[in-house]
Amino acid sequence: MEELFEKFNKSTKNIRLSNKERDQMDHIVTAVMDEFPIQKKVETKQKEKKVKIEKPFRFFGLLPEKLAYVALMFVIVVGTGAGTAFASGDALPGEFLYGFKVDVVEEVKSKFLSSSQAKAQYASERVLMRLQEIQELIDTDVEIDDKIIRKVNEKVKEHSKGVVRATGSLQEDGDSEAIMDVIEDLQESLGAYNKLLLSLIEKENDLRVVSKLSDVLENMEATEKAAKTAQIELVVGDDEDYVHETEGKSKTTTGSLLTTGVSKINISAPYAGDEIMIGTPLSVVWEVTEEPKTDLFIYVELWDDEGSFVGYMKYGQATAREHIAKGMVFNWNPKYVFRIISGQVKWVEINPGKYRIRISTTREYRSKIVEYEGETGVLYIQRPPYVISGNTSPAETKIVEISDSASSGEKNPTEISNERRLTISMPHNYSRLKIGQQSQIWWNVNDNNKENAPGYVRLVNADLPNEKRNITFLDNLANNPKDSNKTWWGNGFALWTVPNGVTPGRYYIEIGDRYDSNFYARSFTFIIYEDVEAKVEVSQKHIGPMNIYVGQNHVKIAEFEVRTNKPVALTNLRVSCKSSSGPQSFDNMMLESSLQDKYQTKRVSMMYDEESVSFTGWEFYGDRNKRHIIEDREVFYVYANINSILETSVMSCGLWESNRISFYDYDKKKTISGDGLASFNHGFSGVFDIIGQKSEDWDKKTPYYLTYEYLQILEKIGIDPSSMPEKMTYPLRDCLVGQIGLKRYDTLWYQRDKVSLDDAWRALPCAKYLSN
Amino acid sequence: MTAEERKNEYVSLYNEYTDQIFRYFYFRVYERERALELSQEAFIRLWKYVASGKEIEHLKALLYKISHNLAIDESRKKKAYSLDNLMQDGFEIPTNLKDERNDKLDVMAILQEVEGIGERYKEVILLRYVEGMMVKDIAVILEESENVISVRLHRGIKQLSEKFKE
Repeated sequence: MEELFEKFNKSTKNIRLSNKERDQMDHIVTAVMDEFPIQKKVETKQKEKKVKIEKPFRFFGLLPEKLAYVALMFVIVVGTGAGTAFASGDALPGEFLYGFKVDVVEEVKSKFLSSSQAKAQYASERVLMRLQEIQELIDTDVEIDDKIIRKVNEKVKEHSKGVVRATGSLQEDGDSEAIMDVIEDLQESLGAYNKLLLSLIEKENDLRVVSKLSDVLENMEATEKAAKTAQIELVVGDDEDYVHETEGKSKTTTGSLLTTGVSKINISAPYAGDEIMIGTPLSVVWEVTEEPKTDLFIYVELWDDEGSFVGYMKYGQATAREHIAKGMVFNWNPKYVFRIISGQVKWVEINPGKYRIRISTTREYRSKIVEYEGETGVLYIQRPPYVISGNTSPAETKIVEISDSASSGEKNPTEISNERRLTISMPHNYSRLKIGQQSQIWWNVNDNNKENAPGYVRLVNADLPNEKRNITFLDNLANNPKDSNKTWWGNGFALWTVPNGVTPGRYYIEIGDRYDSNFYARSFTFIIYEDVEAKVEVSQKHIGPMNIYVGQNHVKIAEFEVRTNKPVALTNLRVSCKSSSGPQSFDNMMLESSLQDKYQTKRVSMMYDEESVSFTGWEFYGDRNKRHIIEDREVFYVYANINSILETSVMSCGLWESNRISFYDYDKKKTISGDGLASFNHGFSGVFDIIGQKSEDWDKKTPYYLTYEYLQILEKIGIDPSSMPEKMTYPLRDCLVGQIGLKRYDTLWYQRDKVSLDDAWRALPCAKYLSN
Repeated sequence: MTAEERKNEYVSLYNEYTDQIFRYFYFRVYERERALELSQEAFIRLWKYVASGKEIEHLKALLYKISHNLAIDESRKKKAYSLDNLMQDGFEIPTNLKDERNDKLDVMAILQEVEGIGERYKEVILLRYVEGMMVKDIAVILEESENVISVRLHRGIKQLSEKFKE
């Protein structure tokens, strides 16, 4: 036997790389070595910073391992036309381009993400996207059938797997913070899910679909659990013996959970007496009373009313102490908590009941000395379907309560009975009502008994603890349900005026049966605000220095953030640039907001030299109705096309004079600019070197299809152009040749023929060669 | 160790072990192209690890560990790799030995049988006899004790011998 193996060993030794293969591998490995030089010391992973413009110029240093992506992108971008990729961006399940969007555009995009963090985040974003698509379908009154739900569920499952896979890599890298980001994204999906359920409930026809959606939820929750487990395991490490001081502790005689007896953490949400719905994401907001001297290790714990420890909601580290001082927000899905038993993470389902939250911190992990701690009052955790049985009413009644779940304003109905039902559809979720403003209430009452019992309408302040909630009965209603002479069953609406003297804040409206205290419903949470002076802050971000090529399009020349305490309209904006070579001009400028509004301007005047430094980048004096409204916070980007006749020069651009940016306050009918701005962080945002025409060298090394137009397209569909490779790899080439034929391939590749839709579809199976 | 030393260590390992790693994957996926891709990936991952500045005790063992994990991922991804593919692709083992034909048959026979035995045994047999690694090194890579590896080798060979007897 041994002899045989020896022989075997000898023959297998001849299996080795050919010279060509070795060259290829050397090329790739050395390029990776250049791209990732050895770090001096282990540093905490920094978040990926997405620089949009700088990178195309780093093509020459591109990773050849990504070369394979080129061909497919080329086929997709050029072949199916950017138009298809764009159009597919809005495609909804059941529509023609939906498959293209989900299976091709998104898939390719995800292949282009290089870090595990970006991958995990994108996968979790995709979960959210799928839910939002169904939401959109519902909003546009499209009937949703099982097939659509099945398809979406399938995708959510797939994306979830992607999240778990990428989280695994993050765990390997020990990147706990990145995993926390992913968990946050998933929380958002849970929120979207709740909103979705509500919309479905509102449309009774779709109730059938609701039950089918439960699989989607399961997938999301399982993913969240997996991600969280990964994060906790990282923190816990292999220290099996360590037990945090909380574990197994019981209440002290004072009734407080605090071990030090001193509360140095204020928990501002949830409030004592809040009703928390199982499954509806909830924000825990807290801050320490003094700025901590070091980074802290944080435990957020759930205790029951009896004073026994139930489990942790969060177990991790805050590395930036200034954040802790400013206040921390932690989103939690109140469905389960975890415990750590001999180094293993165990999940514990939460039962409805009375609970309290305790937050404690230690300076170091494994330390027994509590640095700061704080606790909430008693909270009520409830199960949603919050079904009330009306034993006192004539018939057995069951209603779905549309509840304000204290924190998020999401409703949580999940069960519908045919018997007695009351829903309120207006005011809308988080709508803003000004004190003194007239508004409407819409409701629907459904009662088989047909009894015209008079009802009541009241306005409740959701910001206060349950027992202290201000209740204002609304009497001055037109078509008042309180009026016993009128029927309020069926669809109804009432006009009301937001009463003077109410404290601004979050409110909901409650409508109920006067004789049956169990029969009532709550509206969405909405916001009542006072007519105050607008306070607008503008802060400009620094970008650059960077190189810009003449003829390059869509170059970001400024970025700024606007924060406001009330909605205002952006009415004028001026971006000033100066150039070292005297008067110059841009072809075109465009303002884009983080909320995806785009304004194109055609009027760009000349830039002048040092003495008269400015040109108008963007002006908007048009139709008032079209003005861009900033609700509370928005980031804007200013892009320019660099004129092909521009001279080589150094240029600086940015928001410069505060009176050249103005906002309009509709309530006060007043324009705010200059001194009226609460703050204006101005100046030139960056320095750009305009470095002339593309060189011959550039042409040689850059694939011809990667003109700036295409770069722009790539950015639009969310692919970082820097990840675009420059050449074709053998496996991909072979695959493409196999799919479209050598002759056609040559025509496309060398003769730059236009790729047809047919080419594109044929080439799709080659996507498998895109894997990293 | 300075950055330069680390780099040199990596480069010499790369030069020395490219073929070995390629072979390692080749006998798992039986597809030249894929084996090349996986080898590249293994070396890239190793470099990224080296570049991260983390402490590495045994670079070669880490290389094999990474390769081992990649091979596992690959087998989960795709179950279709088989000897049939190998034959179809025209599996040629160039050999300078005298009785070429017989040797080739022997080799094929062993491969066939190695495929047939349990994964844990296959792994150690390939590492021992294809890679020519010592039991001590295999133990480091698979994170098992030397005794466990010896037992597996012994059992694997026993299984194989029995199969050959059949």
